Amino acid sequence: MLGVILLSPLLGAVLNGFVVPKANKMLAHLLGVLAIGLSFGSALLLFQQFLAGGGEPSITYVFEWIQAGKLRVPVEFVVDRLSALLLLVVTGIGMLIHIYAGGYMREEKTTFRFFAYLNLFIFMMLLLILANNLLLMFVGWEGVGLCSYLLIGYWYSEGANADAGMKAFLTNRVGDFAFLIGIFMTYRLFGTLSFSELRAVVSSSASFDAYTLQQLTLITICFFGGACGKSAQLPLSIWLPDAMAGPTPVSALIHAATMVTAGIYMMTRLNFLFYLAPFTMEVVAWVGAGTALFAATIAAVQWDIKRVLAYSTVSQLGYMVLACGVGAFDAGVFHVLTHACFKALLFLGAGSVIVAMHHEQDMRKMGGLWRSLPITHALMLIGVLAIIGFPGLAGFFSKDEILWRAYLYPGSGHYLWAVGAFTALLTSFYMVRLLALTFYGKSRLDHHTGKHLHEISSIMWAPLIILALLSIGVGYLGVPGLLAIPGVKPHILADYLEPIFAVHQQVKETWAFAGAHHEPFWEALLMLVSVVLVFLGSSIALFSYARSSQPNLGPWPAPGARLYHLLSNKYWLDELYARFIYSPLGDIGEFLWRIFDIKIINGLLNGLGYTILGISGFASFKMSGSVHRHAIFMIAGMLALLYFLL
Amino acid sequence: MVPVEHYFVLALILFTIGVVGLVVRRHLIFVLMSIELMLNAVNLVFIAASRALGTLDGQIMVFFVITVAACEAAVGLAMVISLYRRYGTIATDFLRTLRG
Amino acid sequence: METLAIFYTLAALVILCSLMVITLRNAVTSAVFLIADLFLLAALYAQMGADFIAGIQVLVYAGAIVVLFLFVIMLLNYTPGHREEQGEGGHLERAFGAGLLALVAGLSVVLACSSKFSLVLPHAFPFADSGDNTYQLGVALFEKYLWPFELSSLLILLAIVASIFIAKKKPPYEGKRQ
Repeated sequence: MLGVILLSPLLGAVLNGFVVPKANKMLAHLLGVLAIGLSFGSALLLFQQFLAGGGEPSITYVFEWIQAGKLRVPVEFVVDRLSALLLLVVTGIGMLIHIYAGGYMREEKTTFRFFAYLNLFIFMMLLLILANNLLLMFVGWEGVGLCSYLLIGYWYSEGANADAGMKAFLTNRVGDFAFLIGIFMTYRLFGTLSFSELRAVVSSSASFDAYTLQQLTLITICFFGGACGKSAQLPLSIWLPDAMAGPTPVSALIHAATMVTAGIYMMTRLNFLFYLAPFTMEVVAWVGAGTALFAATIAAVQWDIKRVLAYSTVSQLGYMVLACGVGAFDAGVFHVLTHACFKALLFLGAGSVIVAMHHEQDMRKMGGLWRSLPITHALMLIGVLAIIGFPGLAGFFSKDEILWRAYLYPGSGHYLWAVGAFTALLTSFYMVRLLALTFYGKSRLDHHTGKHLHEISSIMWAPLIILALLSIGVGYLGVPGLLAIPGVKPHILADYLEPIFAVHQQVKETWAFAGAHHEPFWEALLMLVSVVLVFLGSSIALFSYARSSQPNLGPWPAPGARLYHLLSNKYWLDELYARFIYSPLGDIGEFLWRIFDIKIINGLLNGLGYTILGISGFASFKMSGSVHRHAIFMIAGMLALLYFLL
Repeated sequence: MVPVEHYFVLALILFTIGVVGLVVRRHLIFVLMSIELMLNAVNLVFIAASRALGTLDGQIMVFFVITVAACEAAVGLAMVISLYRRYGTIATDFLRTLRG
Repeated sequence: METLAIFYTLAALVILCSLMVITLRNAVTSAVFLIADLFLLAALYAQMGADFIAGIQVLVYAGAIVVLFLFVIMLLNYTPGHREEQGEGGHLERAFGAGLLALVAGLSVVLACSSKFSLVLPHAFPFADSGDNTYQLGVALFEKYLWPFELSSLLILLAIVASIFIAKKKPPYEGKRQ
């Protein structure tokens, strides 16, 4: 079963990459969907069996991968509550996006390449999820990075796209480096890389001394660095918005629903280590909150429909990281789940708009589309309501859960909540702004596009409907205890995931706050506040951008102009990188090249070459070219050697 | 029973004869035959050692040496033919393209 | 004592034949002596209980490899007495060869006479005398040495292709050189 899940996308990738005739688009699409469909079907069966079996984790040993001295790395796959769930998300959402992609990529020439990459990506993602040790996870981790690079640069003939791919790859590399160092340190500290063994080792030791705790803090910081790269947290967040250069299904699959959550997944897998490092958790929480706010502010001034969504992804990932940081890993996973549904929906909806507009992504040239694209409009509306946390939809439950858990966090919890709540306000503002600019108000289409506007084909909206239903329904997996909805058990997901988490007894005190003192009054109040904030943000956006008169499409008026400038330049983060990292590196490189390479190394090597040339000139004078002479000298040399050795 | 060192001495002599043949003869065919002699000397050592140590590994090695010798002879003789076609001779002192 | 006598006879014949191989002018006779040499060595192997290798030695070495040599010698229409096929090398080579031979002969005599050179090794050869040699060898070859065995088949295939390619009528590099 596991084999089918894993291998069918790989097989699909291989077949699509090497076997399928290049011109046959239908076959490429069919094969891609079939491969992932098979995988999804098996994952469903596996999940059902897994639940029927009581949800006990099971480890499948495949073969010995590395064995060097004490280091032993087998290829082992683990199916537990976490990986089984993520398996469903990745294959399920992946399948819907595959189906959609067939419609989106209709006009492409090399669909086989596209589907080969997509299938390979799914394979790598599954590897990452199922891996039972850090190194195998790292393989999947790098693999998804590679596929992301390939897919961002899918339209590689345009330089900007290739550059965006490179940027994503290099930025991720910084994070991967930290991750790798974390892996090394883990091995040194615990002598094993397997998750199950690590967990056993950690839970079986009674207490840790100060040195180990310090090491653990370092290790978890390193792991978090890796998560920052993959999940686009500050300061490594710069690659994700540029990654929108890829085809929209890719943005939906990789850069919204699955790959970027790898960092959260990794941290959740290693929760037993993170719990032991309260300092790291504090950092994680603040980076998450900071990223959420940072990205949300930038999203508020973007005009490119996909960029808004990209920054909103960064922002939502910030929420998830915040959840991890305050020890609410279950809330983080919950948000991963809901976010995967509604962000995929939003991206695919945006993709539909883009296709309908003949690849126009600037929202300033849209407006009033709801008449021409009623289906897309309805679907996007659901997606937007879900993400801003409209009561009753998925985002409402998951986001409120995170905010409430952040509020409970001792020390800085209230500030974290404030940042999160303000971000929620911003989220509702920019998402409704997106909706308003695109679908409402006066049409700003140019004549030509307006004439050819057409609703998307059924192959594209059918998956969207499923995603829309999920965006509504999935939230009921985590209904807070406060809202007793008849017929729905509260905290289904949290209860389901409970066995995954392990707080070591040494730090039990630190994490005792969660669930210890429930304050229904405060919880209700905060929920109310965030709902009010959502309505506030939405109304501002609707008021500013959905009126029938021409909305303000330039910078904000006088008092906000400078702020607008700052935001639309993304806080000059890219420029900061350029000024303080790229150009010094370039200077050092230049110096090394001009002085060190040319003068010293080249001089040395040339000198060596000339010396050898001189010696060999002398030697060749002695050479007769007779093979026998050579043989004699060789044998004489061997004899001499023999004599010395004996 | 013949002491194992007797075989070693015989192998040494055989190998030396091969070396001398390799060095002295100018004809490529003889050179190749000398190489066969040297390989046989090695085989003899392998078998004697295999007997002395009571393991079969030496005999397996001989098996592989014979395989390699067959390949070497085939390729070497093919080269001899090719050289003969090209230069009209296979005497090594006429083949001096290695000269520095 | 009897086996020792047989060994000495065989050893003397081996040395004699080998010397003939490298000294004779005529390549055909030389090759015939090589065959004799290989047969004698096969007898030595058999004496040591390596039946299978002895058989292989006769079949493959004497039967196939040296016959290949003979084919090539005939193909090249080799006639002794031609100037360039005078067997002797230059003075340096001959001196070196003679010196080496003398050295080894002396060494052998010294070794044979001295009692110091005596390796203390068990002379047991359990499986040889059980008459099971070929079976044992087969088991070892197909279990412990399966991969080398398979690789050697690849090597042979390569050698076949390579020799056909090299010995083709028109060498492929002919055109480029001229």
